[in-house]
Amino acid sequence: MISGTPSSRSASASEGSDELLAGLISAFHSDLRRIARCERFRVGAGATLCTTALISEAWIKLQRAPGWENEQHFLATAALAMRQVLVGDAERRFASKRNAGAVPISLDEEIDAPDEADEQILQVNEALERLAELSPRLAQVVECRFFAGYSEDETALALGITDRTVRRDWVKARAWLYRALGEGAPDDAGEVSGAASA
Amino acid sequence: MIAEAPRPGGDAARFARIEALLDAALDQPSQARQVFLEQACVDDPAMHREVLDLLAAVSASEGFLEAAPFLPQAAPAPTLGPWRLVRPIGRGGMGEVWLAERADGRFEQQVAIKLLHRLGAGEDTGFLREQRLLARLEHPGIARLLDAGALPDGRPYMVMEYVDGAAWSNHIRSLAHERRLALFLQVCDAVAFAHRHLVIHCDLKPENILVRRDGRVALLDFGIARRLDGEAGQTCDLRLTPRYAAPEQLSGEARSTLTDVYALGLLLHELLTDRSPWGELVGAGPIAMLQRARMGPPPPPSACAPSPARARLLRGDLDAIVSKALRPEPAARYASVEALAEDLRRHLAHRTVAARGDALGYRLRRLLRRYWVAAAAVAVVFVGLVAALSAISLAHEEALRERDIAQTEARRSKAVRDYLALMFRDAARSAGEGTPLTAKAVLDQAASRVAADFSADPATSAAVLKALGELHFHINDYAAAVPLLRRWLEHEADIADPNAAADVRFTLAEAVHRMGQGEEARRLLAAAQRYWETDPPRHADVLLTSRMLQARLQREDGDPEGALAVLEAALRERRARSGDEHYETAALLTNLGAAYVQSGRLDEGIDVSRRALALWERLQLGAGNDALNTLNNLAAAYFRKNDLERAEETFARALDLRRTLFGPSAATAALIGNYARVLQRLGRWDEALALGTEAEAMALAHAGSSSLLVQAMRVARAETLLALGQPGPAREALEAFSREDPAPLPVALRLRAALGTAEAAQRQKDRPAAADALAQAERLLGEAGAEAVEHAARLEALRRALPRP
Repeated sequence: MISGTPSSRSASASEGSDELLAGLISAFHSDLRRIARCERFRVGAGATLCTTALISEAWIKLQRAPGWENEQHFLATAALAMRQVLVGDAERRFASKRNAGAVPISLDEEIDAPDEADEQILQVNEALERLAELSPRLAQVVECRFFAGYSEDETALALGITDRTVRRDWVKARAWLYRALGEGAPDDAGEVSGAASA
Repeated sequence: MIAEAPRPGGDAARFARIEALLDAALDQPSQARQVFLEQACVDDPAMHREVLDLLAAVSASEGFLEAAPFLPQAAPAPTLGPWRLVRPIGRGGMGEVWLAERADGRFEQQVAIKLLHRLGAGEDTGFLREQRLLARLEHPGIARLLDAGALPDGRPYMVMEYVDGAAWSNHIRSLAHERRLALFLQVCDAVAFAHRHLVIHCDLKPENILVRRDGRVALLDFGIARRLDGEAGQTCDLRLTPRYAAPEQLSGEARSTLTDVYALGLLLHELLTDRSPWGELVGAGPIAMLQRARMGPPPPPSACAPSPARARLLRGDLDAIVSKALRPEPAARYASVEALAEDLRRHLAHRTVAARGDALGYRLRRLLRRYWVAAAAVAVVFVGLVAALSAISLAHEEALRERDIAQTEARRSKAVRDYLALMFRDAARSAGEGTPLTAKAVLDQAASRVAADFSADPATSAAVLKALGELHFHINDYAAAVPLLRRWLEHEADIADPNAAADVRFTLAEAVHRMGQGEEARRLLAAAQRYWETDPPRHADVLLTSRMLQARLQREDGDPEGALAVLEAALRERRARSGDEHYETAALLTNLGAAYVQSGRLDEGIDVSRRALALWERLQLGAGNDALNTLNNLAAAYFRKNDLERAEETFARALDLRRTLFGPSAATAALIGNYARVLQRLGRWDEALALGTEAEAMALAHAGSSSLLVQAMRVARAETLLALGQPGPAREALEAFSREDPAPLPVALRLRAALGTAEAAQRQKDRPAAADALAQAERLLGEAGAEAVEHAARLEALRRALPRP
């Protein structure tokens, strides 16, 4: 189809990040899913280098799409996109476990068994939503480091802060999540620093 | 539990204080933190408790959410089959590497065991096949695979020969130049051996090369290698090391043995210069590096050499060898690792190397020794380049001295044109000896030389860079001109020459406009004109020249009458200034002719174009680029008037001339495409399809997929295919058209595309698509106005064929 008058073009260029995020997710769904799979490995074991390559690739392919303000904007949006794919996949696997046998499994999507990594992803995701209310930046750092697998440098670039700040934020956010997820303190379930009843 | 509804604002403020206290505490030495917090929270015990909690969590959470080791550290010497793991010796994206030894004590043997991450569904069979393949790689330069298997939980492992050697980077540091090259040749031999066994490495880098105690190399990590016989794997991407990756890996295209050639080129570069060829980019983030790698080879080794002595050693053969290995396009690299190694051996034996086969000066020296006569023609071209470039820099200095821009500008343009005329003539003459020496080859050579010199002496190189950008532009190689000119603008602040900057912007505007980037062209042109208009008398000439591009942009913006007015005014002013017999007058006449044709005033267009053509001949530029464009325009006018006989004759004449004088370029492609359209109209469909296909491929290479040129050719090819009764391929061509953003293209073209889509869909009985396209066409017809009258009948016919729902 031939489409797009000048006016519709300028409209799409000025649309917000939601549009870009959706574009990124749909254009790179399988790539992002591959990342997600690596990330799942990462949660349980072993570092990964896959994000860097795929993000670079995505950037090369998408940099000419209208609406990207700059590399920083791109990286931050890509991190969010990866979080969504990762969480979406984990949810899907959980759902497929519950529905095992009841729902035909699509042939072109590989659905493997949910595992403890999925559970952790979902838990972190949920806790992160709460952390975002307290400190959006800490939550973003986790998004970049944990979900997107960015290095400290890449995270610094994505968020426009120094790598020293990234290191410190990561330490704090991790400590907060550690408590929020009740790691090492099972009795303390649900108690959240900063939102604790006073 | 949280007892009450959260108060986001209050919670956030409170958390900010907690965070600040935590920060402050973390800044204290660990033994002072408790006391510090007690004092800081003396009147808020609740907060004190929370910060203490978080502080405790800081140390407890170390490693939480981060990569955990595969096997618990505490596990005492776990065993794996007959192997006892001793200690971890490495870690990468695919897993961990452990040093291990025989557990059964039957004999002493150390091995390296790679523990991989769990594989996805369906990947395990691939893994086993790969292991069998790798086990066949028995070569002294490759660490051997001894065994492979899987842990009870399914995680695969590989048992590799343990190489007790020195790290590549450390080892070569102590070696002299020639010893380094000898070692590098060993690496080449090992990689070439793997290639013969259909295995590519895909991740060659210093970390994967060890040097044994006996001085032989051992390549590690063929674990991610892929077979060459068509099993494209994804795993390779996941292990990408951007610093050593080839452009095709970065863009996800097919990898091949040439990918390893590229990595070897980077390795060689680093070996020769003791630093990464990407220099400071290494720290600048992977994306910057990827973009850079796709632009072209890094600066040659001699430009990165740590000392002038080393630079002298590298200049020439080694620069050429490295740059041939590092071409972004795989096909331009060495055809194999053997070819790369062979060239290095030739260099070491002081024989001529293949990499410099197309290097002009090198060939020149060889030729001079052998055939004086044959060399003469080549020398003329070379001298022509030198003369033109020095004339340019001379003119530039004069300009600064005399502030007589107009005059020096004219001289500068003349120098460029003189040189080009000379070069084209001689390019034609010297085509006899071996590979034809084209103007483009001469310029490419000059461009790579100036690129090499630029970092050493930016000030001097700037003028040459600019001239070369302009020269590439003049032979219509926009894809080559654009990076040169952009590069100049990157150094704009250092060069500090606003006059030259306006020039460069203008040329760049012309180039990007022809590559279909109208918006950027408008911006660049406006910036240049803004500068010139600060002193109009001084910049009168160039301002007049710039009106031609301005008019073209205006026309494309949907204002053909305004465009004509701009040109007519410019022509009047030009005649008054320079007289009738002047290059710029002829150029304006050519443009005006084109503008008349394009706004449908065909007789005026033909008249003005013929006058322009006659003027070119009087100026003895009847065989030049501009005259060719004029011929093209004239032929187009005949075509539009439906005087097909004259159109065919004129196009044939133009094409003949262009093919004789120029290599493939965007302009050649445009001309072939136009000729194809005449044949199309004459009903010579098969000829039209062959030429149109040739033209489209050429245009794609030289102008880019989104350019007006390529887009127009897609539409024309679709029309030819429809006439030949092939609606399927026609629709594919039009789908390619729609994949690029068609919005900035002329309405008439979009209209033809819509009509073509409608017809193809109709013939395929795809009624909804046909109706859609037809509705689109109707809308576009309304938009197009007079320009598209000729298409109204076709639209009507298609509409009648498609019953309205």
